[in-house]
Amino acid sequence: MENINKKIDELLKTRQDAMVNYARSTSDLIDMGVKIKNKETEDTTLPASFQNYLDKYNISNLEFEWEAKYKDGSVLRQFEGEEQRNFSHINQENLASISFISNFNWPSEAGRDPRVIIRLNWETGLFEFSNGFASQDVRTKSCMNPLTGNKKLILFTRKRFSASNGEINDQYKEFFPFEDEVFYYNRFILGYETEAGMKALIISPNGSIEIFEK
Amino acid sequence: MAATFTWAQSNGVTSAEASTDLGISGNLFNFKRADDATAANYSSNPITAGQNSYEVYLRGKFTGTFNTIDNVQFWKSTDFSPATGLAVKWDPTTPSAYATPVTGVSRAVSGIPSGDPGTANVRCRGGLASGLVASGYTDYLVLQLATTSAAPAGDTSLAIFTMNYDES
Repeated sequence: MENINKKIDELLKTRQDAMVNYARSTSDLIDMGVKIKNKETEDTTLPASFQNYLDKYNISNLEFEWEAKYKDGSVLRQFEGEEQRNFSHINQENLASISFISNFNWPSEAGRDPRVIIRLNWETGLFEFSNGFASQDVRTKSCMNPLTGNKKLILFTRKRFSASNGEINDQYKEFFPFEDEVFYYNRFILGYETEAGMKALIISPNGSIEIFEK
Repeated sequence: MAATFTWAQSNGVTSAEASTDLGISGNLFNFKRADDATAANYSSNPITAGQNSYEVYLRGKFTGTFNTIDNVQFWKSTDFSPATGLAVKWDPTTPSAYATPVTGVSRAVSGIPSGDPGTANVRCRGGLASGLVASGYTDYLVLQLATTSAAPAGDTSLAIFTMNYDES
């Protein structure tokens, strides 16, 4: 009798630990900005920032889109109507600034533009932030001491997706609802390099900002 | 929008390679003792413990609007659980030439990376730094499931594979 109760308790603990770990890891993934999609149900579990997702800006389904401003005041956007632009369309000689702008609102003070904007002033080589989270160290390194020399633009999106593959044994299938999930995670990189080195900001889909230098 | 990605699987003899778009999510393929591009019939083509699956030839297919696709990386994020007697092998040279899939030890002789490789490990147009500059395919990811006699009967459970690339 005692052995049976011990076995049941062990299984209950295994099951409970698994459920708690599932909930915690799912929450952590979403906080990081990972989108989780179930192919069967088409449900997508969105990052917290997407609670304020702005449909009118959501042309690309990317969390950030770039916008280039030229010295003559004209603007080139990555997505504009039916037009799609890529890196090759940017005229670096006439560039004044280039920004990544979020498609979601950042919780911010009333009256301020709530979107996350990371702007690189092409003439000075200094970065500017509006909303988002950047540590003081990141701000110091990116908003001061620009690299000297002719600049070469760094602008790309690093895309990651992970999909589950394989099959669950038939005896367990009715208890296992997690098949056919895919996990998306994008990062947006904006910066420049000169003969003196390289300086780029890595923007996560949850609005956090890190710096990469070499 | 922007670049569109899908997995593509090739099968058949070298002289009559057939390429099938698989999509991006869900169980796109299964390791089995058949050379075809469907996940559906694995149970009627089982791998006997101690033997290998047929090689699976995958490529990343990119279409749409982009300047370059490069820094392509592939790895196994999670292994089968349990993974007793199971090993996913791959060909780290990611060849640009297709060959008839086999069940013997041929191209997929190395353990697949089990974590972020940090740098490109999937070739495009024959090189790790070449990238794609127009719609097209990466070179081949040749995968194979190797088993030992310790592999239990039944389905393998799930593993998670990750693709990572830079798009400008």
